Amino acid sequence: MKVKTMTEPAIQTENLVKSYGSVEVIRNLSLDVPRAQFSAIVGKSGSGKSTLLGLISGLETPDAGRVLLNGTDIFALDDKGMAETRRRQIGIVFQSFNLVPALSALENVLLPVVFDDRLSKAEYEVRAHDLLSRVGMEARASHRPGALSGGEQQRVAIARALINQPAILLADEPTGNLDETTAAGVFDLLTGLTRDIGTTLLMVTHDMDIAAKADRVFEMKNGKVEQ
Amino acid sequence: MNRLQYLTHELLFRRGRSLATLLSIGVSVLAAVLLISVATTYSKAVQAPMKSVGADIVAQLSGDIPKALKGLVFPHPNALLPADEVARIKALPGVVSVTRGVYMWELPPNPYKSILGIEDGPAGLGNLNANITVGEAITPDSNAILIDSDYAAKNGLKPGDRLLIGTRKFPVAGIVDAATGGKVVRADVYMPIRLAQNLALHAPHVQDLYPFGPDDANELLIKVDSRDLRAVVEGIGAILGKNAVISSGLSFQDTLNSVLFLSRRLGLILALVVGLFSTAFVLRATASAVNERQREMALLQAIGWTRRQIAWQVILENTVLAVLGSLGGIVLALIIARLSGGIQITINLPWDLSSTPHFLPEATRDRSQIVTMPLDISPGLIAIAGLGGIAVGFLAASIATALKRAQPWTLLGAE
Repeated sequence: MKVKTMTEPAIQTENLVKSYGSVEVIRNLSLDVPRAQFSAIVGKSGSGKSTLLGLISGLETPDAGRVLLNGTDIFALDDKGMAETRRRQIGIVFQSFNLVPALSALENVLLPVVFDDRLSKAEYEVRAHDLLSRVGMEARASHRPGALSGGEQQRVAIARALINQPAILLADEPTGNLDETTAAGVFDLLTGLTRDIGTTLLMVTHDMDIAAKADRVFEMKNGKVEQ
Repeated sequence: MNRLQYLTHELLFRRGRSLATLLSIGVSVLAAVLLISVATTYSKAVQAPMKSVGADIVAQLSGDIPKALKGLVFPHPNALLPADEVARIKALPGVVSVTRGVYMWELPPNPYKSILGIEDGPAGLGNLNANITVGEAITPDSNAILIDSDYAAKNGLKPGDRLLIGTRKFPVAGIVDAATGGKVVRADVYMPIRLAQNLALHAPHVQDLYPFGPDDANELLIKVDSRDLRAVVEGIGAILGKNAVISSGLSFQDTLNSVLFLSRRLGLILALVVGLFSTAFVLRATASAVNERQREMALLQAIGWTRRQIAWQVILENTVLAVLGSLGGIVLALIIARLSGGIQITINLPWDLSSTPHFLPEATRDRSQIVTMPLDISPGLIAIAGLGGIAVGFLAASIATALKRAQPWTLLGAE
C-alpha cells in the first residue's frame, strides 16, 4: 500500500495538453499542488486556468498527459472508478453555484452521497445540517435555490462540496458572481472550513487580493504556468 | 435523501413537462385500446347474426321464378326438394337432425306475408313455442298459427284473431319473438308443416312449377356436429348439385372474412400509427427535457454519480410517467367503454335468408339486423397497451440519455 506523505503533492499534472479545435488552451503543462494548503491559479481570461481545473477534476479530457490525485492517474480509471474518486476525494465549487433547482438546500447538500454507504443516511443528514449551520444556512435548509440569494446559494454549494470531507477542494472563480462583501464572506468560509479539515484547496481566481492570501500562486499565461 | 425522493421532486418541479409526457403516453394508450377494441368488437358484432340465422345449415334448391306473382308462390331459391335427396342428406355423417319446412310468399290480392310451415323439433316448432311472448303454443296437429312479433305489431294482430291465407282464415294462437329466439329462419307466419303442405298442394302457381306432393318440403333446417360442418355443407352441395343454396355459419363467415380482416387490420394499423406518433412525441419531449437538464446531469457527474446512475435516474423518471400515463389511459378507456354503451351496427342478411322478397319495399328494412355489442377490452389488450406505453417511456429515455453530449466541464466551468 502506498503511504501518502505531507510532502507528496496532492495534485500533479504531467505534460497536459488540451486543444479546442485549432486553439491549444493547455500546452504541455506540468504542475505540483502542495497538500493541505491553499493554492491559487490566476491569469487573464482565456489563459486556460478554468480548463486546467476541469482537467484536474476529470470532467474535461486531455489530449495528452496525466493528472494524478494523491498519486492516482485519474484518466486510467473507468467511469465507476472516476466517479468514486470524485465522490470521495474531490469537492468542487463553481462560479455559477450549480445547485439543482428542484431540491431544497439540505437535499442539494446530500446529493453527492445518495449512493455512498460509508455512513448511514441519518449520519449524513446530521453532517449536512452541521455543514449548513457552519455556512450560516441552517435556517434556510428547506428552501429551494430559487428562493436563495447568490451568496446563499454559494454557501450551500460549499456545504455540498464538503459533505464527503474531500481531500481536495477545487473552486472555480467561487466569488466571481458575488458582490464584494458577500465574496469576502464566502472566501473566508472556504478557506476556514478547508483549513479545519486539512483539505487541499485549489482555487481559480482573477482577483489578485484573494490570490495574495494563498500559500501558493500559479500564474497561467498562454496555456502554461508560471510559479 | 434517496433517488426516489430526488425523482419525485424533479417530476413535481417540472410538472408542465411531466404532464405533457404523461398525457401523450396516456392519450396514446387510450387511443390504441379504444381503436383495437372497436375493431375487435366490430368483428364480433358482424358475426353475431350467425347465431340467430337459424339452424346450423339452411339448405334450399334454386328453381324458377313463378309465372305470375300472385297468390301463394315458392320464392325462386325455394324449389321443391325431392324426397330421396332429403333422405340422402339425413344420412350424411355428422348430421344430427333435419327439420323440414315449406316456405312460401303470399302475394296479392291478399297482403304480402311470408309463411313457414315447419316440422316439430328443437330447430322447428319446439323452438318457436319456446319463444312465444303472448298466447299459446301450437302442436304438429294444430290448425292454429303463430305470428312473428314484428308482423303482429305492424298489422295489429293478437291471439284469438284470424288471419286470411289463400282462401282460408287461420286462428292466431300466439305471438312469437323469433328474431330474439333465433335458431329458425324468420317468417311472418309460422304453422305446422302439414298446413303449409296443404296450402302448397292447392296453390296453382306452385303446382305450375313443381309436382309438390302432400309430404314434400322446400327448405331444410339441419343441425350438425360443429366439427363436421364443412364436410356436411360439401356433402349437401354434392347431393343437391349446382342449384343448391346452402346457408351456414361457414358461408356467412366466408362472405364476411374480408370485412373482418379489414376491421381487425385497420384497428391494428391505426393503433400502430398512434403508437409511432406517440413514440416520436415522447422521444422528442424526453430528448428536449434531457437537453434542458444537461447542466444538472453534468453536475451529478461532478459530484460523483456514474454515467449509468445518471442515465437510470432519467429513465426511472420517464418510466414512472409512462406507468402513470398508461394506467390513466387504460382506466379512461374502460370508463369510456362503459359509458359509450358499445357499438351498434346494421348488417344486411343474405336475401335468401330474409323473410321478405327483395322486390318489396319492406325488404330493405327486414333484411337488416341491428347488433349492439359492448366494447370488448380484454385483459390481454390492457396488458399489451400498458406494457407498450411503459416501453415507449423507457425507450425514449434510454435513447435520449445515450445521445452524445458536451463534456461536463464545458457546461459547469467559469470560462
